[in-house]
Amino acid sequence: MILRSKTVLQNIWPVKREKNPLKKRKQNKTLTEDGPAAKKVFKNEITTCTENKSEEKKVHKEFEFDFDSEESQNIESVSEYAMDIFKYYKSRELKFRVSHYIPNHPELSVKARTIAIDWLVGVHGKFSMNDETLYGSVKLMDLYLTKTTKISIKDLQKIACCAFFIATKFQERYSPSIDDLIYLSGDDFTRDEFVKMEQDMLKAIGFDIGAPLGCCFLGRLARVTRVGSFEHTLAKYILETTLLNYEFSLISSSRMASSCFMLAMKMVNSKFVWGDVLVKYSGYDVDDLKPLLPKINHTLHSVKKSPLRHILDKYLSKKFYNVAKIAHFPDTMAPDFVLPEMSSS
Amino acid sequence: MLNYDKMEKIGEGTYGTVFKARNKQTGEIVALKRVRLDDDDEGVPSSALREICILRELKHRNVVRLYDVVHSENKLTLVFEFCDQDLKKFFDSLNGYMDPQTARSLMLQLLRGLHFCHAHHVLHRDLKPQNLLINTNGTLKLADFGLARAFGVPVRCFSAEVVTLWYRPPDVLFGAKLYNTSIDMWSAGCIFAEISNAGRPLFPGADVDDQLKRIFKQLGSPSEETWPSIAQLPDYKPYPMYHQTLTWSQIVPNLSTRGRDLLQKLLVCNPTGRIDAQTALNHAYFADTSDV
Repeated sequence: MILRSKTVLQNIWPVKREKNPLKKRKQNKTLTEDGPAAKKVFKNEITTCTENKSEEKKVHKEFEFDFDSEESQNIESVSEYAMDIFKYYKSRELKFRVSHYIPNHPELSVKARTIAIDWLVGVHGKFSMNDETLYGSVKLMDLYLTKTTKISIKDLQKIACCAFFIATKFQERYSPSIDDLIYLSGDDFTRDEFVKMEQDMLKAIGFDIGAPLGCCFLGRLARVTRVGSFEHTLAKYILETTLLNYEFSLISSSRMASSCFMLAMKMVNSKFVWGDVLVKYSGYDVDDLKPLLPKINHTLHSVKKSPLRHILDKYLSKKFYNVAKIAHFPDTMAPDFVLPEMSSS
Repeated sequence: MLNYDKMEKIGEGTYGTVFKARNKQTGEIVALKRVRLDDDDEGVPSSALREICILRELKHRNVVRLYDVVHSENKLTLVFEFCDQDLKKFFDSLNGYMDPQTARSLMLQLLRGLHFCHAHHVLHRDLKPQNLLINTNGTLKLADFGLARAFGVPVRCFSAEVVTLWYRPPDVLFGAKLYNTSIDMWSAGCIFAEISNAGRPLFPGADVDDQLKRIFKQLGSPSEETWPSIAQLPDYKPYPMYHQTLTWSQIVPNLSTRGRDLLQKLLVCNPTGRIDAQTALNHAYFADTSDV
């Protein structure tokens, strides 16, 4: 299997067979402020932005329309049930709410979580799996940590790996073998420990694996607005980077997806308007989403400075339309910025 | 299992053995599905994991209820509500005659359960009389979600190795991996005919080719006119036009005109033309109780 090759292994987890990689990586700076260099890049990237203007026209159409009835001949759209299903997803979001769990785990930190998620993105990429599997893994990990206390930092990689394993079983036609996952994790845990972890995790989350996921909400918005692949991919890039930020895990997936979609559209076209179609299919008004935008934008800037590059490298690639190269809005976030939902909870 | 007295074995699911059992405290009769977990296995089987997750979500009168899951070192036990029999056994007790009122009630309940699954992003993918349970009150319940899966919108490609042959739709028989809720509606159509004929299967094919022949002999062979994307299906090959030997009223003699109309709307080869569960529930067949 390709995954056993040294180079691939190093891509996923830079230090091979390190006993406790999370601890070591913790010392790396992840979030830094933008310096003057970033502004320079911003100027150059304006050109990249304008090249994609041809695709943005479609976004603007503001008319009351029924996307699903236009899709009745399209098997993949499941037009008869699409509306029901998205209503159902939204109704279930509260059930899968992640709580502010870091204080319950003295050994864990926001940074350790970010490193674990970046690792997950790497593993996910190597197996070429669906977006749902990545988002599902992150959600499972966060939910498990919500339902538990005093998790040891040593177990975090095993937990991330196990969340991925369960997500593949639920989402994919084939799951990786336990042995491959152990190898990928640098023999960080034994087979017995891993099987036991799976039991613990399923028990803790009560077998509720089918959480509504951000990528599904995002896909819906991209389809109903019929935006091009570039715009959809850019929005996916933004939403994926938000997975790295612990604070965003506390916000509902549909709200995150809608906010990221809005930011992506604004990056492509600064005059973009969150019209009736988007209000109808997202369930959010501009005012519900706008407060999150500076923080999401800040995360985008942070990712560019971070040594955790799995998401960035992926979206700098040609396959993903180099979307990460697009000009970003300047990082305006005040240092003491607090997310609205964080301050209220 | 400390809390249950195991009684007799009642069957085999897609995975695991099913037993009848009595709750020691309450005396309640339940069905236990046991899944062995071996050391060299890949943890909890994905079929069990999906069935548990899906049934925890689906709480409906016409979907079998999963009460509890007991996870121990080397086995996983699913505790289900107990039903007296499945539709296949019910057929055996009929002596070849199905009362039209009962047929309609069974079909109504099947469609209600199915609509609930579909509106809650679940495809059953193995509907057949053995997987439809009936309790003493005549309540029908969809069971055995071992092949079921949650789907997203848009749907992705899934496995084409789903649904028992006789109940498998033509698109999946031609190897389609992209399918949606319509996959279950075809099975529902086959079961509808089987119900009205008191248990005689509609298309009891011997293999995939025979299955398709039987279907096309009754419904006519599809063409790119009736089914535009058919030639792109992985295992597609054209079938000749067969001469229809039996009319619908000969095939399902106990079914009313309205019932036959619903049946023909379910049994449409092109999946995009097949009726969905919600629309089927609003069909005139269920509206008028005098016309049976």
